[in-house]
Amino acid sequence: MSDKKSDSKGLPECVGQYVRQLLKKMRYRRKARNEVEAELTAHFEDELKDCKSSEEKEQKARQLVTEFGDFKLLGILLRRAKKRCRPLWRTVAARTFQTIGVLIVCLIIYTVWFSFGKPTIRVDYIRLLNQINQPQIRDQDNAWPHYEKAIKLYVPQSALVKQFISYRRNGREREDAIRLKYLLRDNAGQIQSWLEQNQKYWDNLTSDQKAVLLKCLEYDWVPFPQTAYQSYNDWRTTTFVLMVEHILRCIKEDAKLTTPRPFGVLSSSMNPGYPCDELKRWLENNMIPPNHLEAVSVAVLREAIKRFKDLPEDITAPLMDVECEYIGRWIAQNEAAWLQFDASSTKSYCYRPYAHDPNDRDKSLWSIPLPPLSSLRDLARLGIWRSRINRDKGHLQQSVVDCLAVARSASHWQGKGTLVEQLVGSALSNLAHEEILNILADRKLSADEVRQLYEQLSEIYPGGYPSINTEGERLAFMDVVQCSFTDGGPGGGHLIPGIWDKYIDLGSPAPYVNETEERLFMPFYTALSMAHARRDATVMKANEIYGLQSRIARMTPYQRHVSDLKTLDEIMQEPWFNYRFFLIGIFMPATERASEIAYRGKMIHDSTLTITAILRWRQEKDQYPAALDNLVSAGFLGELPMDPYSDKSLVYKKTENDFTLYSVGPNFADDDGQVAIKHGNPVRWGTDEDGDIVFWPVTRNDY
Amino acid sequence: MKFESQLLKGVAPVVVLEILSGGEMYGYELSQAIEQRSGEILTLGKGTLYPLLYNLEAKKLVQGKWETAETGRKRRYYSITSKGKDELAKQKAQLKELTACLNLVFGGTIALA
Repeated sequence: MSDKKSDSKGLPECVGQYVRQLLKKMRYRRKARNEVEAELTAHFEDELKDCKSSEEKEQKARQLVTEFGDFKLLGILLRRAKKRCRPLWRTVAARTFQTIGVLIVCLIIYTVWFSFGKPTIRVDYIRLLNQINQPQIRDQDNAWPHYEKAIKLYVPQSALVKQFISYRRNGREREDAIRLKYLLRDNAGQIQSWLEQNQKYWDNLTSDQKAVLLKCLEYDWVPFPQTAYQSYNDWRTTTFVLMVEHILRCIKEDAKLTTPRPFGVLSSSMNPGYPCDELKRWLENNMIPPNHLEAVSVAVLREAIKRFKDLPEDITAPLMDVECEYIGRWIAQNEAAWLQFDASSTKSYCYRPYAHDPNDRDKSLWSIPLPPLSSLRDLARLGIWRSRINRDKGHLQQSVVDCLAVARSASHWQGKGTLVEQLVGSALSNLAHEEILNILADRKLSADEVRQLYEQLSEIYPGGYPSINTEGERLAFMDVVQCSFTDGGPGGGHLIPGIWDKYIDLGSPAPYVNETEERLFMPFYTALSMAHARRDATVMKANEIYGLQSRIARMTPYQRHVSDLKTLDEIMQEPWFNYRFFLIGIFMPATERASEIAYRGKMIHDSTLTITAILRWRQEKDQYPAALDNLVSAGFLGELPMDPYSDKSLVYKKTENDFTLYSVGPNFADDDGQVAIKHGNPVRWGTDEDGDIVFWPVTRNDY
Repeated sequence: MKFESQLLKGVAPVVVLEILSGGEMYGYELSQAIEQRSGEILTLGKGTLYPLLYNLEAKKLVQGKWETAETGRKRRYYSITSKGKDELAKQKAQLKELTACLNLVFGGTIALA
């Protein structure tokens, strides 16, 4: 309405000022103010049109301004009146926007208050967990101090020992080794001839140069210099296996030995111990030997022959001399560590109090450092390899003793503590029992030795094989709740937005977002927190699920199979579960799977006991028992071995000169003792579709 | 003679509607007409007139429209609506009733045209 805006020229200054002040005070829409200004200006002009002189005009104008009254009051009256004039839709729109504005302001205030929520730590869950695990025993009966010493004394496998061990384990390394074994065998004549021709290049190296190159081969990285402008400018590397294949290709094609395609560059970040510095010094001082490629190829081929030529196809066949040499050296280095581990296994209990890492800002139970489980696993593997070498040497009693030490040690970590510790305990137990079955499969133990083995195995779990204990996990989750929610009460008990960043990145080695990005994400995290269930609802749901999981942990896979209990996956697929109970979603352990692993552990323990009883029966009575019941009634076996996949006894069948003992496996159907085959390989623990879990005859396992 | 403002406040809308019932007028013209028609007894405050007009407009009793006068000046002319006429008739009837009552009280000296 700018066209209606009047021209106040010609009016005295006091009028213009009055109108301006009035309009300012009116504080309403510009269009309405323009209308009022035009109308008032016209009014003043009409009032003053008859004035003869400017003085008279000025005087009358002042009088009029006085008659119009206080501009503040008039402004307010005009605003109110104009507001009443506006159409209904404008009023509704204005009220709506005002309401939205108020709500936004309230939301902002609430959000700010929400974002700055802090948890209150009231319960020391670490102390609670320690109370649960602390046994009433004397300190000298605690295994942990021995474990601690063993871990400190343990000497890790060298790179070469790792390689040799990997050749005895199903996987890519073993496949490569077997392939090279055949290549070496099929081209033996040409290789021998090539070696004779090129041996001189290796012989020309100094002993220091030879030592450096052999060191490189230990780490499986073969170095060769890169040439540029007819001089060497850097080192390149390739893997041992690729280098062997490259040399053999050149020999087979009777071609000149060429530089292989590089796999990587020489980097100081290579495995510690790799002679990077020496190689760099060679390059800087122009010390790279002439015919380096031929010399290193001779070393590579000789090493390949040493490693692969006699590698047996049966993964459990007796160890080659070279394997015994390297693995035996590693075992000898760890004699002191093993003595401590062995001593720890004789103790009745292992108690290690959980405590915060003083350098960790997060003081929740969830973030406490666990025992060095990988070191324990390494020590257990050391025990199994000791057993293996003793078995190969014919020292069966010592072999059994080593396995029993690992089995007893495994029991220290089962049935209590965190789920991870229990799973490691279960894995160590399986490792020991599998090796005992391998010893039994050799059938070299006397009846008396078998009886002793049975007794020693029976003593490991005096209270029965433990099932999975979820109490530690429940306490850890309650501590997470305590650290992640504000206190309850009116407006409280909400999830603190700042924790999202921590939990979304859970498991990443380093924080994924920095502080700036964290601030950017904060509104999003706040919205997620608002959508998340409150503290009480979360605790209630978690207790419900942990209760269910505790029940599930005590049920065999078969009982779960035939029951109509909801699985955790089914609960989590409920609508909005992952938004309402995000914390439960990320922290709830896969108890069903862990429970199944524990039942498998129990099954392998029971089956090992049963097999020792059967073998003892065979040795004492010169025949196999007709049924497992006979073993129980004759006192050879304490109780029938239960199959958790059928809730019946494990299947025992006499064969012509032997017997079979198996579980129906995870498909819950008897496949007549046949192991499932997948991609040409036997599947030890069966599949959901087919296959049984066969304990006897022993399926040869890797190490 | 000047009336108490509270007394005037009640009758001012009726006076404005009555004057506008004679034809459309702009603000200044209306204030002049009120003075003339009341023999300069009723002088509606200048500051009261425009809020009053806007309020009557909000109640749809009068309506305003911008027109350009012969002098070329733009003015807002107000005219009474049919709703305004109804309201005026109602108010006048009430005032008559009031006058009659007051006559009874004061002995028949008050008369409303």
